[in-house]
Amino acid sequence: MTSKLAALGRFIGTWYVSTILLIAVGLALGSTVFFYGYPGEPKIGVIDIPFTVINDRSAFEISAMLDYVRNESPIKGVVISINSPGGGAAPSEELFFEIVRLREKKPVVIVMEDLVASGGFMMTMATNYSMAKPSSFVGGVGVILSPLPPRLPFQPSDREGVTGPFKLEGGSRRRYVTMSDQLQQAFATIVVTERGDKLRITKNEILKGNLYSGVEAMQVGLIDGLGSHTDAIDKVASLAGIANFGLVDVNTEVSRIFNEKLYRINGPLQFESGLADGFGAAELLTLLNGQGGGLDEGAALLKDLLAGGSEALLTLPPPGGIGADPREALPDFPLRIAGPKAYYLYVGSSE
Amino acid sequence: MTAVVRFAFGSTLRRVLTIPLLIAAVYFLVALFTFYRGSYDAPETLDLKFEEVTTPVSAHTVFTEQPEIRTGITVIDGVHDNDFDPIEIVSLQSNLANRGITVDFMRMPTGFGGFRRTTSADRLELLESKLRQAGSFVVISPREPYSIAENGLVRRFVDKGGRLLLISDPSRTQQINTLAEEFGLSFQPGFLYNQVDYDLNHRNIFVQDFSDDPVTEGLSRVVFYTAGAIRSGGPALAYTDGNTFSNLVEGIEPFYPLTKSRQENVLAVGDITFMVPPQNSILDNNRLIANISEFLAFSGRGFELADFPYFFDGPTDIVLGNQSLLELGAGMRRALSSFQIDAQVRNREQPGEDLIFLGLFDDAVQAERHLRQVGIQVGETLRTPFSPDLDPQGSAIISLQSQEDRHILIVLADTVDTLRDATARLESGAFRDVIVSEMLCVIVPEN
Repeated sequence: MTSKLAALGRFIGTWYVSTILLIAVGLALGSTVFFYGYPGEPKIGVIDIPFTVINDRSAFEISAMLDYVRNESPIKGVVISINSPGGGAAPSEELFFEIVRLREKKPVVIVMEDLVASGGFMMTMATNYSMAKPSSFVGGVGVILSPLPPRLPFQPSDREGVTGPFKLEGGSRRRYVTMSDQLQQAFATIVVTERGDKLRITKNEILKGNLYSGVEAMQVGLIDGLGSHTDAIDKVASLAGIANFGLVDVNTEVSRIFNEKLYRINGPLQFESGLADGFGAAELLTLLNGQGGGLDEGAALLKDLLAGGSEALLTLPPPGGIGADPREALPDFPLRIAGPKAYYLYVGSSE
Repeated sequence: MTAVVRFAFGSTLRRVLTIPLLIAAVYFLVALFTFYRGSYDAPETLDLKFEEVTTPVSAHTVFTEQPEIRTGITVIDGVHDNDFDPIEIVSLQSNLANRGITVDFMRMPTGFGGFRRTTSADRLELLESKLRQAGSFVVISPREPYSIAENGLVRRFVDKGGRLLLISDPSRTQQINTLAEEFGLSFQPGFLYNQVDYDLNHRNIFVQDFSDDPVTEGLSRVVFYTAGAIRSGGPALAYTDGNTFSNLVEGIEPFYPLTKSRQENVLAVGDITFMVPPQNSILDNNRLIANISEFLAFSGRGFELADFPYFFDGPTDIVLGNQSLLELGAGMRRALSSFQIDAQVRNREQPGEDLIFLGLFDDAVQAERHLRQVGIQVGETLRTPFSPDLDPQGSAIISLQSQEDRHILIVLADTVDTLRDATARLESGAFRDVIVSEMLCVIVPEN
């Protein structure tokens, strides 16, 4: 045995064998550093936004995807495929600013499907390069403020003590119309600033709110080019300066991460309480509130139930918290909570 | 390179240290070249100058006037499912009230107040009765069309000098053309906009080019808040500028949101919102509303016998042919007072005041001067320009004369009973069944 080991040592010690081994070590070292250290194999993140009206919820999901691609260092560029008539003004602006933030770090190319209007179109302004199909409908720059206060003000009521003449409505009808003009001017500012010299129509023409076919949009400088997803991927690779890249399905990845987090929360709960799959924490808290007679009692009951496991669940917002229906949040408030909202939205022709 | 290779193969230790690092570096460089061909140059993040966003806001103005006080009635259509709230025209109403004009909303009486949908027959009857008293008639955005018969009534009203105001805007249902076209007017679909010069919103257009007309007197700039264009065979009173377009008509042409028909007494306005507070006080809008009110108040409409008793618009004398008619005179006075007509029974007519003469044929000599003017002769036979010679026995005539601002109504009959029947017909409206001309009614005994 000893003699065999000595022979192996001598064999390895020969210069050609040792050199091959050292080269292999070098290759392993190089690939490890490159692929698992820096800079890694480049990837392009692909975000798919199928027909989506942008609201708080959808904007949150899209923001989560944008956040993912921004923080994943192997992802060197992002392609967003979008089909959206727009939606709420603030969520649309949120996504615009988020994409601007992303663009500062990684190139973003957007490829438009059937319809990308208003708030959806605002998102495209934040990208490095925007593409559409020849038959896409894009544009629709403008804002809808709805509902406006009535032409004549509400009658004063003796049932509420209200400070300020416009405390209830938030302003006169004229003031709201003024604000709608401010919003459309701000939208136009975004378009004019971001498109810059590429734009070949006037600001007033943009503010008409027209939709443009992909062909016309390219002619007037509202988009950069026409093409497919593959063209968009090639374009973003070119902007990022990468080749031989891989693709990352960002929707799937973010969904996977979300499900993992959800499982970390729900898993112990299901294990310890025997609850059926899909029984949400919020529903459980509601149930506990009903049994315990109040939020504090419910939380205490939950704490006993979990007995040291799944502390994260205790930090979940109870029903009536963030995102709850305002009628539930203020059950005793006598007035209906409503009022004008701003939309960057293409509604479409009605029958 | 040679030195590196020599160094690497110089000793075992050097070889062990150097060769893997060298190979790793080469691998890294090859991989880098394979996957990375350049670097990303992020574009400059541009400063979005939101602070430069401004919205043009027009100023409120104060408009005061001391209009001439008149009398008269302006009827506002409310039976064609009209698409407006009376509160929206409160500024127009107050301007009319300032001129002494009574505003009468035409609506069918209901037990609960408010508007009620009506049948076309109801509407026609109501429209006829309302137009009898009206000096001017306002139609705002009817959702139900005007019938041919209704158009005929309004046409006749206008032909007699009654003033007609038609208002609609593109945000409201367009049935107004069923009436407007009768006068050569057509409210166009689509709204006007101006993206260059506007108040708050592109749909709020300025109008500053006006034709000379009492309706546009003193105007330098008004704002319409949802205006449509009107086509007219008559004179346009206001023109839009070259930056104002219609969302239906892309071509460059002036639009007319304010126009008259070929007849001077028909005015059409393609916007109602300019008179809704607070828009009524922007720029010269209040002056325009005042001018429109003046247009409505200054009605010189002519009346005919069928319009009894609305042609009496001032103190009215009731003169009797003889003392036996005193009861009839008092009854006539009572009947007129229910129409807010100030009538007095007198022994002789007062110069310049409206007159009602009640008498028998034997008393005709007292009214001979007036009868001669209308060509009526009372004698063995009763002769009028509009009927064959009549046997006075059992007959009665009711004649109206209009002399400038004075109206003279003469009621003559064969007997007191026949005269009572004639005055009863006047009060009930049944006299309209026996009108033979615009100014004469003849009642003959039934065979």
